[in-house]
Amino acid sequence: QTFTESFTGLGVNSNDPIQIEARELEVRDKERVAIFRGDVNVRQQNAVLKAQNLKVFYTGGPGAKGGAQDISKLEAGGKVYVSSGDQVATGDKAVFDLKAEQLTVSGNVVLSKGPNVIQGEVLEIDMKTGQAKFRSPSRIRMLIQPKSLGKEKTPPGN
Amino acid sequence: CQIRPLYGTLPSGGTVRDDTRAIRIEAATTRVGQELRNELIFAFTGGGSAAAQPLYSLRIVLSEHESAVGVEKLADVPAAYFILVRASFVLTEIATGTTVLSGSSFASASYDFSTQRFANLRAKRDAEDRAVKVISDDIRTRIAAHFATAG
Amino acid sequence: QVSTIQEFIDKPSDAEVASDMLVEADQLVYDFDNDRVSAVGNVQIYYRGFTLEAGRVTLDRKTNRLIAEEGARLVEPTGNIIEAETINLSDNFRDGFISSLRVRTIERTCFAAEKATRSEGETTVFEDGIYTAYPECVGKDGKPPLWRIKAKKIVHKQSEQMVYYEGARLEFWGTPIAYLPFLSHPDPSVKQKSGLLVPSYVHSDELGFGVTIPYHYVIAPNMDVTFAATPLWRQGLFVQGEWRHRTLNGQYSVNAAGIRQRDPGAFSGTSGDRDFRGSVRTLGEFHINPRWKWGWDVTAVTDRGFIKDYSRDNKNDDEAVSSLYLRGIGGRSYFDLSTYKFQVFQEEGTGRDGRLRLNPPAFSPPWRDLQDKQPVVHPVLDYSTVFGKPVAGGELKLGANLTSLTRDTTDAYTVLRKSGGRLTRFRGVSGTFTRTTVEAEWRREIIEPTMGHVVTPFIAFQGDMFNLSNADHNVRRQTRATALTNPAVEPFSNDDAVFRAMPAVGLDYRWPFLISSDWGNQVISPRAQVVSRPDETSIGKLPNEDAQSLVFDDTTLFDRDKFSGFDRTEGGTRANVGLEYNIHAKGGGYISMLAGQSFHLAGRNSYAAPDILNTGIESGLQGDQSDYVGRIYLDTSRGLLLGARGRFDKDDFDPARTELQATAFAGPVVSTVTYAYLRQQPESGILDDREEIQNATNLRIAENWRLFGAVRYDLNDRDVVSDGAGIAYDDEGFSMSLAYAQDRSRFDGDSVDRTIFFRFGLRTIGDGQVSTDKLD
Repeated sequence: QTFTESFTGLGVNSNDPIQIEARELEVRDKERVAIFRGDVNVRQQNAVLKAQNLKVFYTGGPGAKGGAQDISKLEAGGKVYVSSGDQVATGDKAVFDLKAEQLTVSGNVVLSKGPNVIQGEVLEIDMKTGQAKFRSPSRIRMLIQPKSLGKEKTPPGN
Repeated sequence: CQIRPLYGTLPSGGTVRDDTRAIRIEAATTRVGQELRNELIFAFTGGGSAAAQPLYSLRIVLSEHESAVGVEKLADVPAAYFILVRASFVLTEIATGTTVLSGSSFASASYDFSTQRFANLRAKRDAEDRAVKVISDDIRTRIAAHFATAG
Repeated sequence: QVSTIQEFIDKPSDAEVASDMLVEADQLVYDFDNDRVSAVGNVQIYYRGFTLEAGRVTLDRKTNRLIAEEGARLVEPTGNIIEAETINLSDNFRDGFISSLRVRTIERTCFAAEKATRSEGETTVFEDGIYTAYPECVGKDGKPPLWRIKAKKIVHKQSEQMVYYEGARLEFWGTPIAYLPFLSHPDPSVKQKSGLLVPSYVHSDELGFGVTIPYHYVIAPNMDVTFAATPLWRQGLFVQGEWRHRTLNGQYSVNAAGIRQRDPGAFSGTSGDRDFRGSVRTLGEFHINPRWKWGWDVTAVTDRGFIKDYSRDNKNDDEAVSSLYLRGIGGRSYFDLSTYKFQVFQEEGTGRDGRLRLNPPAFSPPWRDLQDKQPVVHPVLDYSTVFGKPVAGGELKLGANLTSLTRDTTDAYTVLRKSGGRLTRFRGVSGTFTRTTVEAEWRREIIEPTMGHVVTPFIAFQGDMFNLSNADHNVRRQTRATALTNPAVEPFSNDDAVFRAMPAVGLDYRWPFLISSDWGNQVISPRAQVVSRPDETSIGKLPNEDAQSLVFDDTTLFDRDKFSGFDRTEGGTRANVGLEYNIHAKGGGYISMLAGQSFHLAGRNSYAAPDILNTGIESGLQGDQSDYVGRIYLDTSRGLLLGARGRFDKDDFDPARTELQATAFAGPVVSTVTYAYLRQQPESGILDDREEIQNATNLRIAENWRLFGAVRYDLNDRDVVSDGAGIAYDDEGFSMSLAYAQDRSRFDGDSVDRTIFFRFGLRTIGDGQVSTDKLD
């Protein structure tokens, strides 16, 4: 499936269970934030997020822990690794804004899909439009294989 | 400035020939080039043996131009021919590849026209040899003067 | 089997799959759902050797197209540069269409067009295109270039390496001057391509006006033929052809030219007064191995004047030397074995041209049978080598020469004797003569370290064996009379073998002084040379074929044997003294001066004993004390090069021979002057002085324009022997030259030959790799 489909799967809309493993968990209920530290590993279906620390902001009633439907924002930091299917993105920080359905990875971001690799400073993926925009004060570099760009097209002529 | 015999003993002991014996001259491809090369080898070694290990390499590019002079009206033929030979040379130190000395020298010699065209052919050959000897003396003197002052 | 081209494109070869496309940009948008990637902000894409730059590039996966906008610039692997507003290419860059583009090729030519389509990476079609050989496509400050070709359609076929035009017109400075319904020319990248070469125009009195149209046909990369037809207004169709063939170890060529003259009368009184005239020349040279090569250069002509009348290049050759040779060079040795035959271009004289002509009784007059008086040399062999190892501390040089030739008619002429009366002399005797010579020289240069004396003792030997057969007996009769008057001279030999030997021993001494200062070095070097030998034998008895010219000047001053060949050997004891002074400035300039004199000390002075052509008896060496000789060479290395030489009478210092050559280049001017004064040598048959000045100048008058001219003025007879002038324009894409020449030196009936020559070329459209101005 396409790049966006895999990412949407990451705790954004589906109700599949999300497993979050970490060495420590600190919950600050007043601030409605749960902080996981130490080899944080978030898994849902075939999407994986790894980071050093993860803050989960949620709204709604107290005592709710990591329930999918009332998470508003995920903030992962410290060498973030996000992968799903053949697509992997790495960077220093990643922020999932579930309300705006916006994923922002920043800090020498490298996004690879099969043989194609893109390198830049800031990667914004807009889940609604399926557009991934790379912005960078310096230059963005992309190494792609034109042949691989095509979806598994049906061979022409038949 | 100071005056002293060019081939006298240098302040460093030895004479200019110790350096010139170590000059290796690039192989020649033409007759005139071979004549110049043989003359220079004699000038550098005095007929003795060259240094076992050459320290310098000398490369020479020769060019020759002939012009007719003394052509008169209705004469059809000139009175004489000029041979002008030019030689550009570069002396480099083999170890470092740096250029020690470079320059260009020229000499001209003439021969009288004869109705016998074979005689002109041989006279031209002799004029080339004479011009080459003058060029050889000039290049040799320059290189000797260089080693005498650089030494 | 590839069913469709499209499939062929889509089935990438392994190389293509492996090659990635690197994209760099300020901003990148990866639109997953519509499968489009767009890069924005000075985008640079590197792919399969192509480089694409643009403001915005969109890579659309669905259509597999790549669209570059906002000032796109594509550099192809070949180096050609395509600039355009938009470039729309297939993903492997092999096809696409480009709008308002300009293509600049590495051969510095330019295609421009509103729209161009490119298919299969092979054919590019430009609509409303322009082609010119100026890389900027436009002239200075935006004006149209000097010339361009505008066409409805320009089709460039890469594999065929051809460019085709439809509805084309040639424009100079933007105004159309010629409509070319169908035009094609080789792709600029092609070095050797068959096709018409640019025409040239010639006019001369005898030939009339003519246009040369050369056609160059490439048979194979190493084989080509050039035909050129020149319809001449007065003489008819002049045709010439050149075949060139390069093989593995050498190359050869055959050049033929011919004409059936409509108006032979134009050459009346010369050998050219005939219907059919032509020439064939073949050249070849082949390497046997890196040291040895053999070759030939053979010319055949129908008549003597043909080459001079019809050739533009070798107009001032005096003869065609045909030869077959084997040559070797290696280590310190040299070997040459050659046979020669000479074709004289000089016309037969009439003896009635108002000049003092002396006619030797009993022999063909000097102005007749010029061809039969030339020898056939079969062969001449030269060998010389220097021993690698020193011999007795010195250098041993060995040499050998074999000269064998045959002549049909004796070349006799009459000279005035100093003592009054006339004498018949011989530059060549009819018969067959062979001389075998071996020579050896040992020399060693000893440096005396304390005072820097340079002493060079030497020993030399030359042994000659002369074989003469059926020599002209008239010569013997004539020379027997003259031999009576001079004991040193013998009559011409009639026995068939003569041996001669000349040992020599001597010393060469120099004491060079160095004056070194910071701006440069000066070297003053006195030099003296003494040679002692027995007297030269058989003077007058033997032919003199290779030692006829004797010029005593600074270059012969320190020659151990001042004769120019083996047929004469210097005898007796002689001393040569001189002083040399050189200045070498650090900046590269140098001055070299030499003056000296030669003294005959003892024995028979070879230069006072006349042989059969009085060699050397007016050379300045004939007295015990010779004339003075000197030279000055000057090279400022900043634009002036001068070489002057002279011989001055030993008593009154009156110049006997002075020669000067100077070349100066300053700013736009390059000018060469040659001056020569040769005093008369009545005893050698030269009855009047010759004094001449030549000048050739090249003046750059504007950025691409230059004027050139040359004149040869006879100072003695006060008239212009030959002169010529011309104007030429050369720039990046166009060259033109117009030259006019007048030559009065030819003895061919009319007083002056006038030639006008015009040639122009559009680079890459028609300019000859083969020089088109050759008419030979």
